[in-house]
Amino acid sequence: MELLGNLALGFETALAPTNLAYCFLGVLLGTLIGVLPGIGSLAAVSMLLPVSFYLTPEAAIVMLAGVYYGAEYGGSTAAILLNLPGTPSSAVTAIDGNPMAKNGRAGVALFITTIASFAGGTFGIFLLIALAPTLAEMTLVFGPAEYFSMMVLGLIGAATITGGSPIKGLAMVLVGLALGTVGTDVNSGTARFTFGALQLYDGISLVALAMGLFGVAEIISSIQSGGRHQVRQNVRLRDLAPSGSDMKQALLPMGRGAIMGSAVGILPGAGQTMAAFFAYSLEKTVSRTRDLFGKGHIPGIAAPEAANNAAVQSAFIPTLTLGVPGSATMAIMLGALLIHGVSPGPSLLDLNPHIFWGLVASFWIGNLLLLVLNIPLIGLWVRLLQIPYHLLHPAILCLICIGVYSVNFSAFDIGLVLLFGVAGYFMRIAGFDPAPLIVGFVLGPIMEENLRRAMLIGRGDPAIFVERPISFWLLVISAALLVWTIFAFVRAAAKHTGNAPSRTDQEKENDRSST
Amino acid sequence: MSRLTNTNTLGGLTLLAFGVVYLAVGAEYPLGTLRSMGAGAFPALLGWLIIITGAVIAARGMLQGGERFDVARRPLLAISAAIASFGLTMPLFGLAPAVLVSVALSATAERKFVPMRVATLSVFLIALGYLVFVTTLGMPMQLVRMP
Repeated sequence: MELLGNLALGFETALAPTNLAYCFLGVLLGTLIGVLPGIGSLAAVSMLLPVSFYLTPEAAIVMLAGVYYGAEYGGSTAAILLNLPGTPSSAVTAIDGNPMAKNGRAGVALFITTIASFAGGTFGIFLLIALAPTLAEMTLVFGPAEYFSMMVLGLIGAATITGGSPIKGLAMVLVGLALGTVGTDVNSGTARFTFGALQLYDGISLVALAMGLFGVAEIISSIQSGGRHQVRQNVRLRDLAPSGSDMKQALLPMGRGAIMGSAVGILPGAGQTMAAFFAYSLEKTVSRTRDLFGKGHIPGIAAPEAANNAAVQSAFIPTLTLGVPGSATMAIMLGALLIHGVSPGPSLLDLNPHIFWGLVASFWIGNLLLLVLNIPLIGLWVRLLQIPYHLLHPAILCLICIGVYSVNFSAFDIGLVLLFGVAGYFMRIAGFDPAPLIVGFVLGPIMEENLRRAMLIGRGDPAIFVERPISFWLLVISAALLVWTIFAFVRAAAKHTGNAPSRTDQEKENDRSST
Repeated sequence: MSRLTNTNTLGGLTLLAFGVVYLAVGAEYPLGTLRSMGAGAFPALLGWLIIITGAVIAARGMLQGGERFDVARRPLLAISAAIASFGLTMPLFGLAPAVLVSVALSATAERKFVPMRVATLSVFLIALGYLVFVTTLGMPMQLVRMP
């Protein structure tokens, strides 16, 4: 009955009026930002990160989590109506969602995605409740060597699974780790890579880095690609209701999507994009109506949407229990927790049970709010999509600047945003995905700390990493993952040589959008 | 396709340069021993790894080529100028002038510049920013100030 007691504690925390209000606000703002074309959940979470500094740790994380799944949901709205996915994971939804909209069934598509998101999210939360305590207990035997190897696996996962060139992903992780070393070294007190700038003694500001790499760089690329798309369709409430057969068609794919999504979400490095993509492929394989996919088939939106949202929830399992984030967005969440003085890991459940269980409860409430909020508000989101980009980009840019400035009231941070924005834009056009960089940046200091501790325990012999069995196997899996992705990439690249461009447009698209 | 100016070669060389600078700056921190690693040990390891990956990517670019490095100069310059002007204006003159200047500059990213649109949008954003950040969150920011 311990579980019930924990859940009661959780709901007590989540239902506290302030937390509930911030959960609502997060979901609302997240959807609002996610609906806007070209702005993913990563940019949405980074934009609202500074605001969260003014809140209690619980309220902050509850709000940011709300922003995260709100943005994921909003992204699928843009994908269906415009064929312009707001978030990369909703690119899969666009495959069948957009044809449905073109056939005049946009309302039904939006309704099914809402229901599928809710079902997937709920399933992911159940898995979180079931697995997190056990996993946290298991990791109690983890020493510094195991943590270090775990993070190696997480980083290799982040570098390789996102698609595109694995060596470029690896390079981004390394640059992230390097940026993470800027600031005062906790062991010796040495100020590293600060170039005498006092503002850098506490390290590079996560907000400035994330806003620059994702917010600013995304704005510059979107202006370049035109970003002028108009929706002609008006969706009214009564268009939403799916018929009985629609629902029947959606039911099983939703279930399969939810299971697939939660399984993929737990893996380090694999994100919702992978989850949605796998669920779609699975649906296509098991379906008896395979020919209908891509032409507006309901299972084609129900499965990836359920998977996507289940993965959002299950990705919190490694983030909260191990302190190893699976994706860049999770890395920012982890960063936010650290800034609030809460360190994720096995001790989170013991030391701050109200945060952990409060989060779990608020996830579910947030998903419920999403359901309640979105069905009546779909018309509003549709109208938001009609805001022309020339009004949108200066507005987003201003909010980014004000947000970053408000953290330290320093022009220095604005300078960092400029620097990272330009750098992020160049990375994007050169085919370097900046998402692994953020994971490296957040994990860097923790990783270095554990490396140094493990070496101390091992009396200076690096053999400690292979002598301890858990650490050994984690490293073996990391190496296998790395070798396998490089091998697969080289083989895929070899196929393309001959027809000059070494990467196809699709791969390029994946690179650009795999945040 | 040029072997020297494609995305792989340029990206790899940039990484290589970053690694060299990082390693050089990091060289002044003590390495320590394997048992008790100094402040410079982890950066040294990273520096070498960055140099190696950068070299591999650049080599691949030179041997196999890559895509053309295609920069959209106008949006890049306009947005950069907007951010820089915000950073300079905000601490000196306050929120309202900073928003106005950066909206105006970022609007130049598009070919058509409509002054009325910039003005309306600025007023809206100043009101929104003030409401959200100052009234609701209580941040000590001034709307307009004199240096």
